[in-house]
Amino acid sequence: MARPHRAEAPPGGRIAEFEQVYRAHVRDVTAYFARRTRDPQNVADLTADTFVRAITSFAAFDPARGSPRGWLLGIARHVFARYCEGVSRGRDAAARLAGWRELDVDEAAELVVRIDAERSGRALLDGMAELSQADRDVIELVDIAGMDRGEAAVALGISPGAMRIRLFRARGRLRKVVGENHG
Amino acid sequence: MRTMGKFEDQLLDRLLTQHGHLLAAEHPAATATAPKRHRARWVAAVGTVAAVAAGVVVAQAPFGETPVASAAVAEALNSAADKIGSADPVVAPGQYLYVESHRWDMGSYVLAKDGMSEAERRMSESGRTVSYLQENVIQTWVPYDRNQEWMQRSYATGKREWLQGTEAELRAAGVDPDAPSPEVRRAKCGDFYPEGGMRPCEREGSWQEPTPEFVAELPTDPEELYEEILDEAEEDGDDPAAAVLEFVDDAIQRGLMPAALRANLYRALAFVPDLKIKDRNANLDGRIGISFGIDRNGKREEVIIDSKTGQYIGGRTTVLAGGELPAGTVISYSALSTSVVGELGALPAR
Repeated sequence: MARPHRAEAPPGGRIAEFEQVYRAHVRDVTAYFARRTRDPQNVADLTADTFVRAITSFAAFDPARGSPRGWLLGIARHVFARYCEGVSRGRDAAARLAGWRELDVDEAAELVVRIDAERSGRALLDGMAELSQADRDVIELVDIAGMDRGEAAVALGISPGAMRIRLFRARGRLRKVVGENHG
Repeated sequence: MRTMGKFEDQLLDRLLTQHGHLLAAEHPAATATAPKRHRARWVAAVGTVAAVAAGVVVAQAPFGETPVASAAVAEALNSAADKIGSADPVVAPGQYLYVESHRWDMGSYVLAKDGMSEAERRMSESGRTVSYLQENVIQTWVPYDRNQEWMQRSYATGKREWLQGTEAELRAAGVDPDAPSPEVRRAKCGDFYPEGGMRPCEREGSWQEPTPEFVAELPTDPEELYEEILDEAEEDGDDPAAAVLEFVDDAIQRGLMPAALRANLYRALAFVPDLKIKDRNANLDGRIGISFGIDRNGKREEVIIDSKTGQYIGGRTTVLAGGELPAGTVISYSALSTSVVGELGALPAR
């Protein structure tokens, strides 16, 4: 298969910057979706959707205001919310993501491995079903995805101070839920 | 950097082929707005979402966001901060800052049933509870040179408000609610309650006991100040947002925070999530102000600020529904006033 022609740009330009951000964090994004769905095609579509949005708004991304990972997972979170909204309204998610091709066997196999690798994270998220989405968001980003609180704040679009308070409360509620279920 | 698989390679190629032109433009980050806050859009995604898609494990719309202090709260706090100005009472050498705190605090006793031992009574949750609010006045004289001797006089005014049970019940049970009064203490640096082995003026400052050194080291940027308070508040173990409010209340109610810092503390409060304006005409000790509060753990904690002058009036704790006491019962409040007097023990002209 011939490699597609890429837009030209001077070395070190925005294309190179985007590519660097992509290479550094695409696996964080696939992992994020692999904790939410076991279907490789879904992981692929949602990851693609996230990066289309990322490339579209990359001009506005200012690293001084937060880490690229926080920014990307903020987009991923939004993409997933939109996806869920679509599913709940009976819209065919695939239609919205039209234009993305089917995974080939190799790619699907790769993603199955990724999905499998997120098994424990997915189980943790499942176990937090009693918590609100807001609580699960902070716990996932900090305690599962391993982001620092500042990055997670960017991902959630809240101030670092609000993030700390939310994390504190969410962990407290998680402890309570775990205590009730196992105590 | 982790290695990419075929899927990631393919995706990168497609992205750059189909959308790479978006990146070729000049770097406009300086003018564009980073997509930092999505809240308005998130909030729109209301509606319970069932996980119906095959393979979708966790699927729920992200509502239930904790709001940060609203624009109205931030505006009111920042406006109060602006009004404080540098309006500290000026204490000349030889003079004293006089700080008077009127407090209503709750006293509570569990009364023994007949035949109950003291130990049983202490453990008992079935005994009858008598509780009341009692008015206390704390007067503090702070010398111009804070290393010199301070004086503090505290007393109960004898005014009580019975919340549960009666005074007769309490006295019949052998409890005298009248504390020995007044109590007078003198100490250099205001160290009225030295901890074991500590000499006066060796105290490390804290939010509850702010020394000039402690005050001098605090950040001047309001958000950093908020983070600093949050560091301490998180240790507190209770809810951190409510704890931040309490710490600020503790710090200011001693009457020793300089105006610039009080202003910054108000600005710092604007970063507290969930802080709400509870009452625009809160009456505390006859003074009217705007109350900023948080409802947590069955209680509402408030600080009340005079919106015309920006001065701190006091703090108040009220019980919410669901407890032993009726909702709306005030279980503690304090009102603060400061002035300058000529000598230790003197009272300001009224």
